[in-house]
Amino acid sequence: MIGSGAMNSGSRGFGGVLPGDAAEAPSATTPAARPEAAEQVLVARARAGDQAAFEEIFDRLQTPVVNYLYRVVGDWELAADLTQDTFLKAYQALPRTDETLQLTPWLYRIATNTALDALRRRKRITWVPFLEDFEPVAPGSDPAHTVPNDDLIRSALQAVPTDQRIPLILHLHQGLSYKEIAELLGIAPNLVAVRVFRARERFIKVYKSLTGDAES
Amino acid sequence: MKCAACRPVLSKYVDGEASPAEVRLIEEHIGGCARCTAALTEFRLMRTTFHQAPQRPPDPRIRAGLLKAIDEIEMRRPADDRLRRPAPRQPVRPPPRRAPAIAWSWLGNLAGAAAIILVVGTSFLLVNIGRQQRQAVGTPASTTQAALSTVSVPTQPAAALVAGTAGAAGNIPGAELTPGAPPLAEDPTALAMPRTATGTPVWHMADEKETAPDGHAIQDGQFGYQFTYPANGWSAPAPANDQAVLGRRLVAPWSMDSAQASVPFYMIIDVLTGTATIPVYTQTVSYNNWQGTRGIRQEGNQQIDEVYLRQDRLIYRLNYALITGPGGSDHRAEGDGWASAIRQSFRPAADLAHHPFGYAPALALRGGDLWTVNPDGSNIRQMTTSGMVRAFSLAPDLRQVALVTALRREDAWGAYVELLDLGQAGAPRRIWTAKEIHEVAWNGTQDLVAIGIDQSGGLGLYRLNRNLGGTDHLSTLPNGNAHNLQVAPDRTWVGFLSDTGTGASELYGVRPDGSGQTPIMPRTGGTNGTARDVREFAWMPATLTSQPVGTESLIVLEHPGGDTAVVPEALRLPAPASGQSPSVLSMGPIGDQQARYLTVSPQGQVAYALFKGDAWQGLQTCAMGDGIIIGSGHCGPVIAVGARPSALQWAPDGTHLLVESQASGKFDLQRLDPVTRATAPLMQGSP
Repeated sequence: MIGSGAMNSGSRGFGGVLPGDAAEAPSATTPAARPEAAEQVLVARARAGDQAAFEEIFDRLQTPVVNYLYRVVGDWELAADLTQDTFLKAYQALPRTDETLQLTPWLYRIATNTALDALRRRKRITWVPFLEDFEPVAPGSDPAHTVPNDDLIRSALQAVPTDQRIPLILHLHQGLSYKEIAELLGIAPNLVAVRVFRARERFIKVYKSLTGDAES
Repeated sequence: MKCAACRPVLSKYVDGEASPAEVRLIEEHIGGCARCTAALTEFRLMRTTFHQAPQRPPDPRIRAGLLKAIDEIEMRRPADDRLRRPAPRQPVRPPPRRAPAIAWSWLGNLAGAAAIILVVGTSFLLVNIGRQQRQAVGTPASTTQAALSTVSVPTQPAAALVAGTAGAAGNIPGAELTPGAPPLAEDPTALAMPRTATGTPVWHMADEKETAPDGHAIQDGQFGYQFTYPANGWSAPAPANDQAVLGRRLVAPWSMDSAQASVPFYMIIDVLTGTATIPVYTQTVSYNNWQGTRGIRQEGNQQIDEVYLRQDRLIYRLNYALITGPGGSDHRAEGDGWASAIRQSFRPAADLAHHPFGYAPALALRGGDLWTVNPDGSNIRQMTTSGMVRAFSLAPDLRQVALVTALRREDAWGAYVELLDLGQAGAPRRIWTAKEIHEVAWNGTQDLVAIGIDQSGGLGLYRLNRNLGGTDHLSTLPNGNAHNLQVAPDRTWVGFLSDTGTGASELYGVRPDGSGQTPIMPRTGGTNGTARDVREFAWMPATLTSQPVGTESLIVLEHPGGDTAVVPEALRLPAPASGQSPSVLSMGPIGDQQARYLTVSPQGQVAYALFKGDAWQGLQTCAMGDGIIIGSGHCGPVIAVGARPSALQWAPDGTHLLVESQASGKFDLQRLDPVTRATAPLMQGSP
């Protein structure tokens, strides 16, 4: 409606995942949730249009973000592209945030959504809850890797369904708490616990079978 | 605890996410369970494995690609959107001086302050006005008059012109402020133009054109105008537009009526640097026995402090004026105070549409968010992202928007009032959190009124301030409900409708301090009689009506009862303590039609949609003008153009109507020029 009218039609959010959506105060118990004062200043400057400040934010966070994305999508080239997309979206969205912004969860939220979009577009990954007959990628197929362990992890992770893989990585790799993950993904903390557990079980099962293959 | 139940909790335990009760259960269980102890080991090993996995350094191409993409975004952004990097203030370049100063002698001796007006064009006129203003507060007259009138000159048509303009005791037509208008110095921000973050008044920020409205080239502060001054008056080419904005300069026409001719002048105000320049022109002079061509060069380089647009006038405060006298000597004149300079209706031209926070963007709610679009349909932008905005109200400065935003529940009444500055990027700023908030309306640019429930109790009227925390409860609403909250333009009344419970909605008014809440229209049969059924109402703009001080005018859409018609009526509220009743004037026959979606423009144009039953007939506009209550309104024909509307509003500059129509559950926003009947889409297919 135009003018000063009120609308009666229902409102909708953006799938529950919204940059800068910090209606509830996040937990301040973990290091990731408690923003450093210096980071806050940097964010404020970047929000005000200081591109150098934004570049510094990028320099600080691009390594964990690209590694997170790599864990999620299992492909280094794709992770690099998605990292660029993530920070570009952050650049455009930052002016619309306010001082309640928690930079790291916010950034991971954008990264997660970016990754999910990319995974959906990728035809060879299908979205099924339990991939019992998944064929793990043979270890050593990525010649750039010289660390066999890393390749095993990557393969085992790719065997975990996406909606479980992401909470697992966010917790084990990025160090976010269940509550932070819940806020980031827009799901209940209990559901985070369930998914992390299932991801764990699946990962261990596949990892064992891969290491069992390698050893034999 | 059984092993099957243990494993999921073990997962939380390893992650440090188990509750104290769960921790106790785990530690009790695994003490005696080998399987789960093994599982614990596995889980811990997995954590270690993850932690040991190396972090690869990122490819440097990521950074390079990102910066390139950011540059591309910034390049594509329109100039006025580059809020982050405000353009540097341009240095003030004084206009070039021309010799000789013969013209001064020609007019220099004319008696009276008004004479000097002609010599220096409008700039000194403005200084003079300033002087009058200062005289009003006891400041002595400036010395410029004496400095300039040194040479005797025959008084001929120029003098007659001067006499005409000198008029009543030096009163310059259009120079006086509206009688009864509030003193401007009190709250200049109430009428301020949009400003940049650094406080510079912003009118227009890009696309400088170097052509005057009639096609003459403008060079650096001078026109190439040729004014011809025949023996019996002035003449000049008429401007194509009433006014125009060239780049960041305002080209303001100024006309002085005399007994013989109206004299157009042009003044160029650079609103970014605050400089006014006056055109250079030449006259062919012929009076008495003088003949020949005189060049009147531009004089006066004025520093304008602040510029405000108030309805149809440009009002500004002078800082100083530098006048060059005859022979090239400089004289400085102190100018101060406020002046009302341009009498003509001063509406920004339609081509200012490219500057969303410069003027008149359309605002609309789409899917719970506020969107804006320029009058030409360009630059559709989403201003909020919460998806929870229920209502909004645009402030009189056209820059602030108050949002009523809901809690994260679709069925909730709004629970926050947030303020958004259209001219700056950034999230809305919350100023009130309450149990329920239904509507909000601006009272000036600092205060707001709202209908809601603060903590508990019934619906009330509240006062908010954009800077102070807390609210004032102003009044409890009649019948426990209210809607359609509107503050009168001169802020003496707050109006709203209230459902009586008997099928009628009654129009109430209350003072902004909460006192004097009363039905506005007298009830049929006395104070306890039947309430008049008002479906919609709108305040008339204050300065456009010639009415006694303290009165207010409204347009209402009333359902008279007994038939299906909803008729527009003009209503005048008398000043308080006058003892008079409101007077009602019907605006013309409506027959069996219903008028809906009433909207009034700042210029006093009324518009509404007409329906016969449910069938849409068309739109109608009425120009109420000065004699709103004295005479009857003049309404144009019914215009059946465009789609059936679901909402209607004048654009804030009054140049066109914003029409919302609905098709298949989606809303379209269109603009309609009621004069040419041209329509153009603004936003289509929005939810």
